[in-house]
Amino acid sequence: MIALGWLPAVLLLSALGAALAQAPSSDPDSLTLFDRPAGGGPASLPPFTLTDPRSLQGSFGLRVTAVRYIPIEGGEPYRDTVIPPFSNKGAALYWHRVEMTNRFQTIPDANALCKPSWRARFTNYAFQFIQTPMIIAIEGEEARAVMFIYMDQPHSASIKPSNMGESVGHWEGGTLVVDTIGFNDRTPLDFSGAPHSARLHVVDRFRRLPSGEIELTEHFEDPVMYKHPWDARLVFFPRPEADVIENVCEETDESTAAATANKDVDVSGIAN
Amino acid sequence: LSALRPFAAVPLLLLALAAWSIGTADAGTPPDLSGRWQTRDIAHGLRPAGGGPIPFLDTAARRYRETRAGLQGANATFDTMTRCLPAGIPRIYLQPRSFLILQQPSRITIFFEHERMVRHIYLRDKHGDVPDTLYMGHSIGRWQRGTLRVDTNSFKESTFLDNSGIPHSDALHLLERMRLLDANTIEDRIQINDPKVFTRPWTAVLYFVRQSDLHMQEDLCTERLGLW
Repeated sequence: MIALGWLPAVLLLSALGAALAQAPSSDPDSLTLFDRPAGGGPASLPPFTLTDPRSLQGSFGLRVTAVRYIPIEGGEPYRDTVIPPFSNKGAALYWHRVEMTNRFQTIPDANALCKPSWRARFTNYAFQFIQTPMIIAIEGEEARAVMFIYMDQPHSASIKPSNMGESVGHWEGGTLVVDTIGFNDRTPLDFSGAPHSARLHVVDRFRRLPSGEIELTEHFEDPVMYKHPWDARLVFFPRPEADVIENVCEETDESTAAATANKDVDVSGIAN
Repeated sequence: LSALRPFAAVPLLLLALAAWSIGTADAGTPPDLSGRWQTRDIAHGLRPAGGGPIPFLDTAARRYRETRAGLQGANATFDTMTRCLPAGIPRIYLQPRSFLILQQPSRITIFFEHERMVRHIYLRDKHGDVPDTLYMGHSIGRWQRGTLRVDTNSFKESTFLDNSGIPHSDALHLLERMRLLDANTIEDRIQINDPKVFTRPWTAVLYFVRQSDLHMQEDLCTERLGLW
């Protein structure tokens, strides 16, 4: 299982490619495949009593097969769905990635190369919150992507750009507010390939719901890849039985080597 | 004197109370190991704490000599770390990168910068069913008089115990005792048990030094090694 840790992602992308192959290559309706209920979530949540709204501790799961961000604010309607407000540069990259998926190619997704990324935090693999007063860690099993949230402190004076960026957090009532900057530009935001630049700035707001679920609203600002800020929302359901286990994606180096052959389109000459 | 006789047991009671309070304080408030740490003197590798040679079985000694020579040669690709596979324990402590310990009542989690590996130490008495062997093994622990005792098994056989290439088998069983020597130093006494490789258990000691900056650095091993 560990050796084939990359397989679900490849199968899902293949399924997406097959679905898109039936339609015009740029038909975004096909992307609704991402929004289909996973079927793996519980019909009803286990009993939960919210005693401490500031407790996020535990393992959680996604209700969707994989994340494609559908903006709740700031998005743009496209057919019967909503997509992020891509700039010219962002749109060129995004639709190129959709085309790649349509051709059964793996997009240059950091996770396909066993590297952490923003989207790898929350997948159908297990992920868990490990909460202490000084640091809250969100440990994702896929690509061993860990988001370290340094509590009640400012950002570092000098941040070395990274796939996961640097996150600082504080509580506002029962809401954990997390500010992340310091990204490089080498990872997609989501499974469908929404791009971002090194100027990405994300504000996450985590809130424990009375049901035991966690609601996350995300505010994205990236003046290079998007015309204006936009917001998205995710909900995680508790999976107390799902512990994060050791995932060594690097054991499958043949597949990752193949993924490196797929390149993004050069958008450096496109004005925002 | 007879009037004082009813109080004769008071000193004993006080002693018992003191002993009980020490015991409960120890059980209830273990030292906090949380923080970012880095191993001191990593170049030394693992050595028996009491001095003397590592008690290899003859076959393992031959294997170690060959491995050590190979690791110093130009073609060390047999070392799984050259393919970004996890270093395993305790070798991962001997890398020039720090690690973050987050301590909770039911679990201690160690996030290593190196290869972004994570070690979970479950504070319970039994391993339970471990479905597979693991690079980092399966760890359980408990506090005893201010010392964290950790029991780890279920290791994959493919790793080395340190950077010099000390081998181990699937029978490897580590018993660690971690304790704070002072606010900025952790002592980790690692008893290494592996009857397929060593004639007897032996103990190595590592020291972890607290780092003033909590921020973890992202390690992308495949990029660091120029693989992909």
